[in-house]
Amino acid sequence: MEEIIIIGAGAAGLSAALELAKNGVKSIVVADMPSERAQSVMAEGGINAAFMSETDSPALHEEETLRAGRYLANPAAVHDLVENAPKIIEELWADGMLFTLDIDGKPDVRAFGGQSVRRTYYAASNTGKQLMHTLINQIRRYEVEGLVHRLTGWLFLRLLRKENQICGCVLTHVNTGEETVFYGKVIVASGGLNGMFGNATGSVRNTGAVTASLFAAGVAIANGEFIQYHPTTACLHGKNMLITEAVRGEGGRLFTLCNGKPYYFMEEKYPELGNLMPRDVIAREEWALIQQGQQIFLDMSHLDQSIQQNKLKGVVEDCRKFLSIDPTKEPIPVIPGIHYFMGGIRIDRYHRTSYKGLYAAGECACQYHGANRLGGNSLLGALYGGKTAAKSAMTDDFDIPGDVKRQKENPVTKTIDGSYVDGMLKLRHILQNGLGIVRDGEAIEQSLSELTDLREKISKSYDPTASAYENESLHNCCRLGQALLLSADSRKESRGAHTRSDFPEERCEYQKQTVARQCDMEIQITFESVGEENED
Amino acid sequence: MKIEITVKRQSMPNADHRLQTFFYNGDGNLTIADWLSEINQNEAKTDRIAWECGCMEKKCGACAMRINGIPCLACSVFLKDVAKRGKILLEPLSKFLLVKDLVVDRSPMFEILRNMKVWTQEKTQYTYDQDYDLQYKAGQCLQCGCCLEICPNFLAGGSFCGAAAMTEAYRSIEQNEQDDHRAEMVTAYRIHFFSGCGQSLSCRDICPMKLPLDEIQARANGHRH
Repeated sequence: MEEIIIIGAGAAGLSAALELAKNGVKSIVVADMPSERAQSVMAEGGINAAFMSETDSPALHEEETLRAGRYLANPAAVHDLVENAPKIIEELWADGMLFTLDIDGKPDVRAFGGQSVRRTYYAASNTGKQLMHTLINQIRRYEVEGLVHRLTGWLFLRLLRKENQICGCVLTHVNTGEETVFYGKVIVASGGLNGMFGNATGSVRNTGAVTASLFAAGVAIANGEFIQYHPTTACLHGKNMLITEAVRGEGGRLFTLCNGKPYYFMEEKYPELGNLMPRDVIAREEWALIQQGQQIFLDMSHLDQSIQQNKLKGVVEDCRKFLSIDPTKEPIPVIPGIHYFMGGIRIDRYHRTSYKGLYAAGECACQYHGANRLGGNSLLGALYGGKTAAKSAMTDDFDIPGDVKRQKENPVTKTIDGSYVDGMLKLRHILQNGLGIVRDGEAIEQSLSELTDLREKISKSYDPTASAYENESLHNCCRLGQALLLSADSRKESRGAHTRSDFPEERCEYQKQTVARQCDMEIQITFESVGEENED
Repeated sequence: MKIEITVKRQSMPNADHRLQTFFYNGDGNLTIADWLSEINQNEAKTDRIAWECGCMEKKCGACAMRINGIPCLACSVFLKDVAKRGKILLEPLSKFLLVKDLVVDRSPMFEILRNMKVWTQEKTQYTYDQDYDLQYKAGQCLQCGCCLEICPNFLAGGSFCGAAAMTEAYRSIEQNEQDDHRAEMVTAYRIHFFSGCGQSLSCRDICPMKLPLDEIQARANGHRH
C-alpha cells in the first residue's frame, strides 16, 4: 500500500500514524512545526473513559456525551468512542504515560464538567503534554523503522482530486513558499479554527486554513455554528489563557460580587451540579452578568493545600507567571473565551468524508460532540478518531489516480501591501461579533453583510508582502466564515453552545446537522438527519 | 516606559543580516511574544518579523530566542523585566542553522533522539526502582533548545546530545524492561551524553521549565546495563 498523508502532527495525527505503523502501513505526518509544539500539548484536563463498575459504564458515558451534545452527534460513532475509551487508557498506560496515580498506584480519575461520575484520567494539570510525550516517544520507534516520516515545515495548500476521488495534496514550505505534491489518501487532523477568530485559548498555529481550503474544494462542513466558549479563561495580550475545568472539578467556585459580598451564581441557580454544569450553561450565565457590568471570579483559595500543590499545580504556576496572581490566596478574574469547535469537516461514523480517500479526525472534524462537548472528551475523540480514520484509510481499496492537473490560480488584479494582515484582523472582528456567546438574527445579518464586503475587497487584491499561501488562505477563510455565519443564521433555535436571543428555545425540528456546502460559488445550507452522513 | 527594541533580521540562510529598531512606549507589562504579535499587525505588517510561536503560554517551546543574549521563551518574559537601560535585543538561537529572522532549524534535536533509539518498547512491571516524579518532570521538557544554546558542550549535528535529549533518554531507560533495547539506549546515553557532559549545569539554570536537570542526570547516570 502507498504512503498515507496525515495533515497535522497533534494527538489525532499521531494516533492515526501509530495505528497505521502498527499495521505496517507507512505514513507522512505533515505539519509546520513538530508535534512537540502542537496544540494538544496545551490540554490540561484529562481523558474520559468509563470502565464497567457499580457506578459507571460505557453506556452512561455515551448517554452523557449525547445529552451534552443535545443529540446532534452520531449515536453510532459515540457508541464506538465510549466502548473503546477504556482500551485507549490501557494502551497509553502500557506505553508509559504518566497518569496521576491513586493510592494503589493505578491511574486515578477525577470529576469533570457535565458528568455525574468521576471518569476522567489525567496527568496533574498537564495531561496533553504527558500524552504527547508518550505518543511522540512511540512514534519515534516507527520513524526509525521507516514507517513514519514526520515532515516538518510544510503546510497543506490544497487537495488534488478527480471528481469525488482524492489523488493527494499540494504542500507549500512555510518559509520558502516552495510547492510539492504528494499522492495518496489524506487524513486531515489540522485542529480548530482559532486563527479565524483570534480570541481562542488554543494554539495560534491552528489557523483554520486547512478546513477553509477543503471547504473551498467542495468538502461539506457540519455544525459550524457550534463553538464552545470556555467559561474560565483569563485575558492575555492577543489571546486568552485557559484556566482548566479541573479547578471546578476539584471544588473551585465561581462568583461575582453583589454589594461587596461574593454571590455564588452557579450554586444558587443550579443546586445539584453547581459549578460543574456544562460549559455553555456557565458561559451564558457569565455573559448575562458581564452584560450588567459584573466581573466574574474563580476561587480556589479555599481548597486543600495538597490539591493546590499537586493536582492544580500547573494552574497555580500559570496564574503567577502570566497574570501576577496567586490563586492560593486570591480569586482569579475570568471571562469566557473560545475553547473548542464542535463542528467541522463532515464525516461518517468511520471518519470518511464525502470524497473518496479523504478522512478527518480531531477538532477539525465534526463527530462526537454534537452541539456541545463534555470536558475530557476532546483528547479521547482525537485519539480514537485518529485510529478510526487510519483503519478506514487502510481498509478502503481503490486506485489513486495519479495524473491530475493542478488548477491555475485566478489572475491578480491589484496589489495592496499589508492587505493580508488587515483582512485577517477584519475577519476576526466580524466573526467575533457575529458568533459570540449569545447571537441574534440582526447581528448575524450585520456580520454577513460586512463579510460580503470584505470578500469583495479581498477577491480583487493580492498582498505581495504576504505569501501566496497566506493570500489564498485569507480568501478561503472568509468563505468558510460566511458558511459559519449562514449556519448560525439558519439554525433558528437555541441548542447546546448555539444560543439565539431571538429564538431561545430548543426546537425538535432542528435536531439535525447543519451542513454547509460550496456549490458553484454559492454556499448552500441544509439540515440533515444525524447519522446519515453516508448519504453524501 | 520607553524601550528601544532591536531585532536581528535575515531574510534567508545565506543573506546578510541587518538590525531593525522599534520604539516601544507603554507600561512594559506585555511579553516579548505579545509585542512581536502586535508589531507584526501594525508597524511591521508589510515586512513581518519571522518567529515561531504556538501556545503563547510556555507549553510548546516554539518561541525560544536570545533576548539580550540570554536564551529564553518570548512568551514568558515581560518587556519591563528584560529591558536593560531601556534596550532589548532579539536574536535567533545561535547554535542552530538560521532559517529566517528569529527562526532556526531545531531538527537536529529530534534527529539525535532517533539516532539514540529513545523510546519505551516494553514497559517494566517493576516500579520500585523508578522515580515517578522525576519521570513526570522529564516528560515536561518542551524541547525548546534553550539548554542547548547555553551549553558549552553542545554543537548541533555533533555527537553530544545535550540536556533536552538526556531527559527523554532518562525516562525511556527507566521505564523500559531490562532487555536489549534498554541496553542499547544505555550505551547510546553513555556515548551521546555521559561522556560529553562537562557538568557546567548551565542547562539547569537556564531551563524555562525549571526542570531539575541535575537530578534527572544523576538518576540517568545510575542506570547500567
